[in-house]
Amino acid sequence: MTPLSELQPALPALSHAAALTALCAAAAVCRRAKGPSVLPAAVSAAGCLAAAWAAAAASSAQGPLLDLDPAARLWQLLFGAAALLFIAARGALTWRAAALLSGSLCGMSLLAGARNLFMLFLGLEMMSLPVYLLIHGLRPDKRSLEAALKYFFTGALAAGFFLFGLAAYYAGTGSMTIARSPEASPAAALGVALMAAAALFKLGAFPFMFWLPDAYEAAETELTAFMATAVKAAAVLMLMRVLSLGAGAVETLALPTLAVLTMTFGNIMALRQKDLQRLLAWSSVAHAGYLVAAVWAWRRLGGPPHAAATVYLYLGLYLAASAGAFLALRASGARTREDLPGLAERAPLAAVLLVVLLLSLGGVPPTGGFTAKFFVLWDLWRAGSPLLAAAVAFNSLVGLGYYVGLVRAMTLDAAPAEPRGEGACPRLGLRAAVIVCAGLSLLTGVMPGLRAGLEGLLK
Amino acid sequence: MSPLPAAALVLLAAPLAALAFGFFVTHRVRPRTTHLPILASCAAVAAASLALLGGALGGASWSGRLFTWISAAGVQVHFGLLLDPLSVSVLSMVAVVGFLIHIYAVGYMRHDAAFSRFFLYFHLFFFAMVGLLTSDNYLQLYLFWEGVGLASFLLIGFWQHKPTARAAAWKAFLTNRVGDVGFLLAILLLFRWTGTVAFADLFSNPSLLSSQKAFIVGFLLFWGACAKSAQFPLYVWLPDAMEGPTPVSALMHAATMVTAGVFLLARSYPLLERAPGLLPFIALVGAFTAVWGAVGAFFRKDIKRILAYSTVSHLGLMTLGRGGGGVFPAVFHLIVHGFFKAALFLCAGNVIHGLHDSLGGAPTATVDDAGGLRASMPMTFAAFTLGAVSLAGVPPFGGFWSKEFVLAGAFGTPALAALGLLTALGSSLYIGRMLFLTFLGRRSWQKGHAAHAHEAPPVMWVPVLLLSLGGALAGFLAAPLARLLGVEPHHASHTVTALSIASMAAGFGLAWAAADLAPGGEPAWRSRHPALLEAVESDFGWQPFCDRAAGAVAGAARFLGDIVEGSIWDPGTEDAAAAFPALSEVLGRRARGILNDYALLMTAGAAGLAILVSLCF
Amino acid sequence: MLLTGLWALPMLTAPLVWAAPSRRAARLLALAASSAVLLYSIWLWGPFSAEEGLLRLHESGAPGAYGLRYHLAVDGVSLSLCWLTAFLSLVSIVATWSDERPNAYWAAFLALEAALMGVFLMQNLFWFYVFWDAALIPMFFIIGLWGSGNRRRAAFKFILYTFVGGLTLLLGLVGLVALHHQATGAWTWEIPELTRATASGPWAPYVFLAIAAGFAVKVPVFPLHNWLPDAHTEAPAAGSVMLAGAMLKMGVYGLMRILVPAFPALSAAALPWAAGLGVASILYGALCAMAQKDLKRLIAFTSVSHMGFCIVGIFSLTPEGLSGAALQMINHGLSTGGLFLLVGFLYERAHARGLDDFGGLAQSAPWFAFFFAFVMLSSIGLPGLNGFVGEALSLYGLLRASPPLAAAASLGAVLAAAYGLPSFQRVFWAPPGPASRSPLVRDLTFREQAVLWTLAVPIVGLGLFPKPLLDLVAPAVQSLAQR
Repeated sequence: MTPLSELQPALPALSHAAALTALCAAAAVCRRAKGPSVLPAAVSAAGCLAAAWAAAAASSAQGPLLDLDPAARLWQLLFGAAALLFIAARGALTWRAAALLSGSLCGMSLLAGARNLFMLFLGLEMMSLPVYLLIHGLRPDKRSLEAALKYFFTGALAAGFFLFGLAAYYAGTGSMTIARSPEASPAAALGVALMAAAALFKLGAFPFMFWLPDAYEAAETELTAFMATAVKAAAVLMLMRVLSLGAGAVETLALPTLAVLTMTFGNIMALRQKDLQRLLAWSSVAHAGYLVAAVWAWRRLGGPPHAAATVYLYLGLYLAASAGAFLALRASGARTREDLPGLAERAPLAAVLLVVLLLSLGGVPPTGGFTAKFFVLWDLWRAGSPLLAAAVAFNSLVGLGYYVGLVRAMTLDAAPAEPRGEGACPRLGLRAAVIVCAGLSLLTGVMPGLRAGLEGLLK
Repeated sequence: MSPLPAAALVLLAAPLAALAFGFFVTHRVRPRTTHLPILASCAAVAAASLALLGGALGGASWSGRLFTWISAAGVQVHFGLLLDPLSVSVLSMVAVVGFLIHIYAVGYMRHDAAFSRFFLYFHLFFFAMVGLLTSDNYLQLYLFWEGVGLASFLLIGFWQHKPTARAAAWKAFLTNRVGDVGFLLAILLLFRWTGTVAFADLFSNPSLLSSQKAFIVGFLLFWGACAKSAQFPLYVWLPDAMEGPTPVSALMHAATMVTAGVFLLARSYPLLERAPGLLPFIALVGAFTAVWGAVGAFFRKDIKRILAYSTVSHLGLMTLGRGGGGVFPAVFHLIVHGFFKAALFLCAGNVIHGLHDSLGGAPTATVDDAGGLRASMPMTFAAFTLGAVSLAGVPPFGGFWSKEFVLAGAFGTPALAALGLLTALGSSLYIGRMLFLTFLGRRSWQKGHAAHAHEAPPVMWVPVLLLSLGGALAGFLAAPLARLLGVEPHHASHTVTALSIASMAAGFGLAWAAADLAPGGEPAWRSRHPALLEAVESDFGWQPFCDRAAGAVAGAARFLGDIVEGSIWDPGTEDAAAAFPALSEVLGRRARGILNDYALLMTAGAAGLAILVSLCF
Repeated sequence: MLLTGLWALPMLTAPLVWAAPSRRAARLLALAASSAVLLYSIWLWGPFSAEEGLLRLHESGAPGAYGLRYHLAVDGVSLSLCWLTAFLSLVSIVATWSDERPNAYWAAFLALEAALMGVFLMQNLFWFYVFWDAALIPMFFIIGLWGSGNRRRAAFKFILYTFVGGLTLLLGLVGLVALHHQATGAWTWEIPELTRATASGPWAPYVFLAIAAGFAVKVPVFPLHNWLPDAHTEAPAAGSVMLAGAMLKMGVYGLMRILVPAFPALSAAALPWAAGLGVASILYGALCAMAQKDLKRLIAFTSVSHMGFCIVGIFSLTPEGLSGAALQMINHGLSTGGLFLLVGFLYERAHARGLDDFGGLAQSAPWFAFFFAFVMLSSIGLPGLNGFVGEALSLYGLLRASPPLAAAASLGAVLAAAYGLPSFQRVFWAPPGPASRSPLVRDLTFREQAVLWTLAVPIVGLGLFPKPLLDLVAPAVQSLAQR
């Protein structure tokens, strides 16, 4: 292998790293430009595009630490899309914020391609740390500082779990590569369990999800959209990689119960939330529950491509709907439930888009959310657990309780006398992003063949 | 069975055309002339039915199918006409009586504001009755059967502002519906067991139905007939039906509509024959109703209600005739009764019309209000007397002959004979009392009433006279009708005739004594035992029982509608849905944002996973 | 492309109507679209009768993996339901033809029509379910935005209650496909294939119950009905016409198209329960109707009673009962649609719906009285009008299945008279109430009469000449009964 081809699998990460170094250099050089401007955002976006091109074009080489199998490519594209959505919505970034973003993206690329558990850990931490800083960086107020710190401490605890797990797994099997280890020793199983706990923390599953609502509520809405999609996708990736090490008991018992607990807790907590971002935070916890159920079905069926395709499809459509919903809230300027009545008159376009996105989150046909949930239900039933399918159905019903409640508040309730909430945010990029997300949600609602396409990609 | 002649099609086409023309044209443009097309249609139907009667006397009978009504796998029903001796004879009576009452109604309803609407409803009934008599299968008969019920609802409640009229209309339709449910079940069972409801198929091979099945179907048919022909359990609506205008009471609730039940029993005679115990049961119910009606008629004061109970009694006689003697006595009495009962009702109409101003516009009159009308209303008095003697069964007149045939049939069993004679006595008793009090008694209406009773205009008393003459001379129809129905009339023995004449004479004597023509005072025997009077007033508790039953159903409805639906079911589902937000309140207090709790929970979670793995390894 | 046009035409014109420059233009465009759909659906009769076989005019997209392809077809029952939907959509648009309706109102009706057409045409479970839930959204906005009184609560309750049914149905459908896979080893979402092999296995009864419950919420059957009165009371007149006229038929159609053919043995076994619930719906609906003070709630409960006849007809599993159910769906659409229109006209004039608010309208509004009596008589099953034929056939079917239940169901006819006539008398014959004296209660305008005549003609037509419609549904019913 020529030296260049050796680097093939690392190309996406390297492109992000290049953007990172360029941004740090620029931050050091030009003292004057303190405020956010378009240039840093453009550089970071360039990094993303380069990474995406590399992921798509590179031949599937396999290095000792990193590789670019079809699944990894899909993950790279997923992260790239979420990042571009964030940049488009933000429009302008300070040098420091852009650098942090590229750093986090670099971590994600490493995570996507990791074949070695240690590389997985490295990617995890490199992704998380910038996000802690960004939470406070983008909106420097007391609440975001508190949320960032809480996220940091609990994140550090989770990192500790991961390392314990790593060590135990290494002790048990003597190998660090992410591959099915032949003999299953108790230490290895313990290691897998702890690593899974870290992944569940990152995903926001019960009982590790308490940091999530505070972080999502306090952070800048665009960042919350980024965290709700890219970071959660990375967590799912980690969970799938870790479980593929042979999860045993974790798989059969813990996952289903945790899935049900997560979705039920998330949905019920979301019912009475006043702040809209906190409500969507709890709803993303519920979606984490559905994702855990989908991953369980994938493991239960022996990891076939069609079940993996279901997880990716769900993630993709959930990404569109959730990011879209957060950004639509930002665009419409509604902050709490009392701001919603009369929104349809004040900002008709934003209201219509928000309705479509909320219905997609609720899984109501003809939106993409339904197609995703449809395949999850099918796989759950196929994996031989109609009861879990029933739990998912029941929970999406509870979910509809608050999604349709929001739709009702927006469209049906009478507008209050004096207008509430900040005015609609006129940023063009934000509007474009919301329109793209809503359009995607509607389009995928009538494309059941999507999963078969993904499945073909993964083979 | 020769194909349908043109006259048959006129029977249905003429009323339909008149109704359509009346509704869409004259009712809109010139409401005062709506009765003209309708009278023309009555004439056409009368002429057509008489023509068919001529043909039928010559031994002809017609049937034909118009179009396929319902065709779903096992249920094949056609719309067709069947004109055999039975339907043609009853049809002729209905057509002639109907025509005369239509003419009478022109005079009676002249001053009514809704003159045109009245005639549309009146002719709708006429069309439904003609349809009923000429249908060739049970389902089509059921269609016109409910059509007649609808017309009676509209006509009883014609004077909409009167609350009693509205209640009576609703009671009539509901009671009829109770009967119709039995009729419909009979039809469905016929489909189930024989696969057809056409008379031709059913009666051509009687072996289709076993005797036990025939009994069930027969009983259900009789249940339907009870509602329509006001037999004992379901007669409660007929006395209240007097709330309608008098021509309605005359045509529908005396001569034609109420006889539909008897016609149904006559029509399904092959079916009833196959059920062993059914005919005696029917005869018993008929006899009991006859006596029950006679008792009711004697104690009533309101002239129309007396005649209503008299109709219940005579329908009982027809049913008794049908049960005891077969088709001929029932049909013959049906026809004769049609004539003289219509005449009596129209006379009552004349009396009410005549006293209208002096009674302050009351829609009806009591026997005490009237009295001594012989001088001022000679024509009505003559017609009423003819009708009364025919009803009572005075020898040369029509009623006597038809009652004879019924009693002859009934004399087979002693119980029926006794009840028959009792009815004969009762009939002459109540009609004699009414005759004496209304026409021969002192002129009670003069004290305090300024105006005097005036005779009805010719357009009203001419049809009344014709009808009463028809009733009186109907005896001569016995022979031709027997020949038409192809049955040998079973003449009563001399003892039966003697007994019935004796009881009729006794009746008249008692009536003279009871009426004792005191000038408007309460006859002595009325005040002596008020409890008996009150009991009879409410039909020995049967009327209140029915009202309580209806009240119970309405109460159940209110219970289900308001309590179960309103306060248990609706709030129940809403509270179930509200449980979730309440739960979220409780859980909300847990996640208060304290970092230590978060870390504690996370560690517990991880530890749990670790323990689980090590345990289950 | 034949059948896709049926649902695509209204779906594509809906956004155009929404974006129409003026309210008048939106209304006219909506009218044009709905009449075009009606004419198109009637024109389909030609190609439909030209073909042979049970399901005709097949039309499908590329065969996707696992049989998830877009597949349309139509048989006698679904074609008649398409006619009913198209007809009622046109009627409801013309009936509420007034200026202050915004563009979205007309667009919502077109979207609803498109979704309903989709439900009646789709032969693939995925697409069937997409259109099934998609129909809820326009109705939610119709009730919520343009209803009366506390419309928001009613709309919210309507959509959540129906989602409960919807999600149970989704679980059941996925279960059905899984059972089919267990039985035949093949994955397919095509209704014709699914209903060919009989699904069995330990999970079969639960799947049967889930699907039955999902459809029962929509019918609605007795215990699951109480979203209907609120939805009807608050919906605008045209909304009630579509809700009662066409949307309730989705549940009954589902039972006939999916549940009974897929589980013939279980349907037969479930006869006493299902028919029992049907009879309970008939009697409960009628009794509750008798106790109502609000006209719209009264008519809503009569719908529960009429749908009970459909359930009874279907679960008798006899050709007569099934054709009775198919006929009853059309009849109920016409008569209840007419009743809701009339009450809507009354509400438009006097803004009151209570029975005791009105009285003596027969004098001031004779045409009102005539049409209300006419449609109410059809609703209580007077023979000669269309209600009777459907009920008689359903009763006959039930009689063949279980005579005692048939006797109980026939009591429904008495109770029907008990709620039908008193309500007519109180509104039209009783002495004038507070609302009837207001000068507003004038007689029907020409437009309103024209609409009601277009309803009255089929009511009498189907009453006396149901043969063509019975022949249309006969093949579908025959194949259902033979299973």
